[in-house]
Amino acid sequence: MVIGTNFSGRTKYLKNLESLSREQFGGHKFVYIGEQPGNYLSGIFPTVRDEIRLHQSAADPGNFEVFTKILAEFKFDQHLDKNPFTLSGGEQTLLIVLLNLMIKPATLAVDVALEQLDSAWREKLLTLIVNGALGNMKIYVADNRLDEYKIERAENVSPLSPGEDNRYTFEMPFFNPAVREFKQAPSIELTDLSYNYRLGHTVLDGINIRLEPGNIYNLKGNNGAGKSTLAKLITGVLKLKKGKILVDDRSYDSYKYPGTLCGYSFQNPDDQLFSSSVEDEVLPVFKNENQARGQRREFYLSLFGLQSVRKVHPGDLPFVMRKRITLAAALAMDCPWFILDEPTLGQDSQFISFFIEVLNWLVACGKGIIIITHSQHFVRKLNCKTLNLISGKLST
Amino acid sequence: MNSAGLIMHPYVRLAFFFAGICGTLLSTNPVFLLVTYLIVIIPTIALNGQFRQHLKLLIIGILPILLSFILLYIFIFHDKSKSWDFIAVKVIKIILFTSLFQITLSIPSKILFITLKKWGFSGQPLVLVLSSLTVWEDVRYRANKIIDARFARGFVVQRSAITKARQLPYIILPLVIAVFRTAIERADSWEQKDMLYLVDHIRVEKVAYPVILNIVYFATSVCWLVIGLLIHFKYA
Repeated sequence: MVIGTNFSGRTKYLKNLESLSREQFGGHKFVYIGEQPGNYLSGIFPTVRDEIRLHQSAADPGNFEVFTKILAEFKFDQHLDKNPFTLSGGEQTLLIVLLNLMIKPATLAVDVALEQLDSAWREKLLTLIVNGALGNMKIYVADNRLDEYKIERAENVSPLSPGEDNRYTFEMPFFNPAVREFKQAPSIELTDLSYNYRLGHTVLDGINIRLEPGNIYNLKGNNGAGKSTLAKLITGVLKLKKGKILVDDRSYDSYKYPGTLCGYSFQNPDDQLFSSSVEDEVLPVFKNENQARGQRREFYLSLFGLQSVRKVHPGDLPFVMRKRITLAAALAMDCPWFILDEPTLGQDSQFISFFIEVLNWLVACGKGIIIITHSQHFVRKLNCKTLNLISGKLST
Repeated sequence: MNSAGLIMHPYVRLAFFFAGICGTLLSTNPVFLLVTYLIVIIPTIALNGQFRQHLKLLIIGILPILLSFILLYIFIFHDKSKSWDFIAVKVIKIILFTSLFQITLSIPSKILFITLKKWGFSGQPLVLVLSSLTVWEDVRYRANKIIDARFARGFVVQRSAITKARQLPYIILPLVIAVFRTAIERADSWEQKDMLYLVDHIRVEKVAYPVILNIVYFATSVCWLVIGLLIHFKYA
């Protein structure tokens, strides 16, 4: 395991392993998987089945058989004819890690990608790796959720030497909860909500639930259960096909007024970064904007430690910073409710502790928050109510 | 019959394409061209399940061209040599060319790889062609995600077709950035896994091509070419 906080050099360390691997083993024996697993798919084949066939060329027949059995154990057969890019983040992660294990590189480096897997999948996958199910190889994993792994680790590696240069500093800001006050958020009620992406594939099935403000809800479910779909229906990104959304007991068309009821932070930050500077991203700068708007922007920039990079293009920043920008931007929308999809992805424990304080403060001020996360460490520290999404149905 | 059953053998597909292009180029008889369109192209498109896309192509692509020709040659230039026959031949030829591209390049994903391999692509050119066929889906998928995110971020107060269309200029820059970022990471991944080796050694499943159908298509291609040649030499 490669241990360290954000910006301690873990990614650099992992990428440098490639030259070491070449020296030791020669040829193409090193594979790196970064935070966005979709970028490590081939991108040239339209189905999962073709993607598997591609990697099969480099695998020995025995390993391919084992791979096929493992895929069946994870119930992945249902996804074989799908476009790999339409899979959820966790499904893509599982696919890409298994494919690369199948081809048995000498060294495999996984950089926080495993955080996107739910705990059951993560444990199962790591157990398979440790037991050498797909062959023995050197695997380096950088992860911020090490405490959640119940497997024996060979060694811990720390890439950063004392005094080494750290490009981005994040100082825990002095957080004064009295600074801002908000209007009490309305309640949200979902009535008989159902959704399917295509015929025969129902993702959500008859959901009935009432969400009260002043609470943090943890929307829990396996990879591909439909959590992001539900979030998008409430936010208004997707159009309701069946069912109703009631806000303070009045019918509400979220699709017609998107981004009004809920501020939404996407799982992949690159899906929601549009502006050419961080400050513009957090809250768009208008020419004759009023003082309150400017103050709101400054507040969230300082809250998330983004002042030093306010003029920088978000695309130039590392994944961790881009994620924080999207969180700041979602909260700066000042909506009554917030839906945060994997807010702690790639974030270290220092930031997570700070972020929990922010969330607690928001709910104390009357906001409502829905979190989608696979981080048990984060959920344990959060005082939240759990909503379980299983087979399209929601239960508390 | 859906497209899964209408599988053209790669060589038949190639023959159909080239014979069709040559036969269309050589012929100047509007009746022959129209008959070819009605008895060859339309049934093929219908069997391929591409009728809707073809109709869109006709309405959005061909109809404006037809109207432009009529406007120019009939109403503006009053050119007697460029009569309705001339316009008909030109427009039907354009329809036939675009239909041929639509039919032959709409390769089912199941046989995409084997078709390109049989056409002689390998290594880098094969990867390039495969990427070019999937890149549009990828770009469209990302663009939709960016538009969704703009809606979710409250950049649009009220959703409508006009407000959605107005988002299009704003997606260009983030789309380009996302594509470049993906390209860099994917290029590294390709190099690490020796993508060209993987592509050249990919195992392909045997495909059962419907024999009679492919014979009919091959025969049709030959007839198309031969009749085109005859018409060309008769009127040349």
